[in-house]
Amino acid sequence: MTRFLLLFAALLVGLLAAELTPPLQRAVVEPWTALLARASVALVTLFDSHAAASGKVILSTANGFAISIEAGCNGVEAAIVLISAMLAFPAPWKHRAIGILAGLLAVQLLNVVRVISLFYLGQWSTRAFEWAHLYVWQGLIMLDVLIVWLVWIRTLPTAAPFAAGVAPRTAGAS
Amino acid sequence: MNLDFVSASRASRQARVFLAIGAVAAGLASQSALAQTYLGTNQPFAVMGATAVTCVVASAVSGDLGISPNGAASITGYPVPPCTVTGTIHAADGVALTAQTDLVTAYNTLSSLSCTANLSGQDLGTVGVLIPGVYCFNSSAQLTGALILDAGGDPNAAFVFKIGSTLTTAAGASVSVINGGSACGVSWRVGSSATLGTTTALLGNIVALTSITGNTGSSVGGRALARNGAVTLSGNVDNICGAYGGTGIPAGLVPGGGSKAVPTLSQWAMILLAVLLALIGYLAMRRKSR
Repeated sequence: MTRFLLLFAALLVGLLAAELTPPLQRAVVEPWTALLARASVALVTLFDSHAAASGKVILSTANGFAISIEAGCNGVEAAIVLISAMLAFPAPWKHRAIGILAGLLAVQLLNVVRVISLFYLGQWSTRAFEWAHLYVWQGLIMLDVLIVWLVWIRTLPTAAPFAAGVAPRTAGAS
Repeated sequence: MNLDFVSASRASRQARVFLAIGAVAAGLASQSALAQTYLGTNQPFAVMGATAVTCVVASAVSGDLGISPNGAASITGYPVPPCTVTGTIHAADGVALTAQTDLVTAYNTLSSLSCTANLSGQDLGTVGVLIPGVYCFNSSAQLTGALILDAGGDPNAAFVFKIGSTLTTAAGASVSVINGGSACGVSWRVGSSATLGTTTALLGNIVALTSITGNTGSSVGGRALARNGAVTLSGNVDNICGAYGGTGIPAGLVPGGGSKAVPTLSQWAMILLAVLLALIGYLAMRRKSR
């Protein structure tokens, strides 16, 4: 169990540190952030022709309102916490891979909904925007990650050698 | 009794591990939440040109110097003293190409902003002290004398000048930011070319559609970025924007912009999430081990 905690800590620190390095920022985080903005605006333009994306900025051409998706606003950190936990937890690699994919999907899909909702909330009321951004959506993102984590743990095979606190040595160990 | 002591000690150790995970994660997350400007990968650049970058007389570039699509053959003077470059030179490489692509995005971002005021026909040296906002010129803009920008105590205050065609400054013209602002929050979107008169001291990022010329003794505290043409310098360009925390777009147009970087998860949310995941994982392992 201590091994899980230590491995979780090490992975979390390692992945967050790696995410901050300029090469990864340029190669992954910034393109991902721009992609998130484009995906959000693609969805918005299905029903609103006054939305446009410019890099990580989503603009309303009707009233000039814009939101900027910053480095910490792209859901990457939330995904890293979940991925670190899944990698540290003793489980077959197949389950880990499925869990990570499902987790990434859950976090990023919800983040797109978050961005779109904030885009419209901000046009309606700055106070509502701040409230939703600071409180409501943080809680929802956390809940999303926790649900994925709980469901994933429940679906793990029970025969894994948890008692020893050691991860299975082979992918087919379960 | 002994068993209780052992489990309390173990629990205490595990609690410390939980806290350590959270604290380290929070420290890292707070760094990543720093805001970035609309310039994207142009941020390390002091100078970016498309067709040529030329040092006419002694001038210093503090920051990266890039050119794309033309290559190294179109860089004249740099980095041979007295034409110096303290950063890296990117000539038609991947970095320069990406930066030029981002420059198009940056130009379009600035172009899309709504005007706070239209100053067409006025000399920027006569408009008085300006507060953060987007100031537009239908065609050319001229600066004679001093332009003062009042940040109103906001270190991330943003001033955008949207100029339809040329930006020209007279000899000795100057731009200054007062009341806690930063040169890095000033942006000049120039619809064609910018020409800085001799000994002009300009602050901010020039994002020009065509070319930028800095005459003898001129200086730019910020960046000189040209999309389609040349950057020709007889003066210095110093990219002093490394620590700027704002978006470069006035806060009224970007809720939560400026110093308010509000990430998906705050530091404390990251700590809480990491601790909860660790706790749930720990309990699940204990349960399954029984």
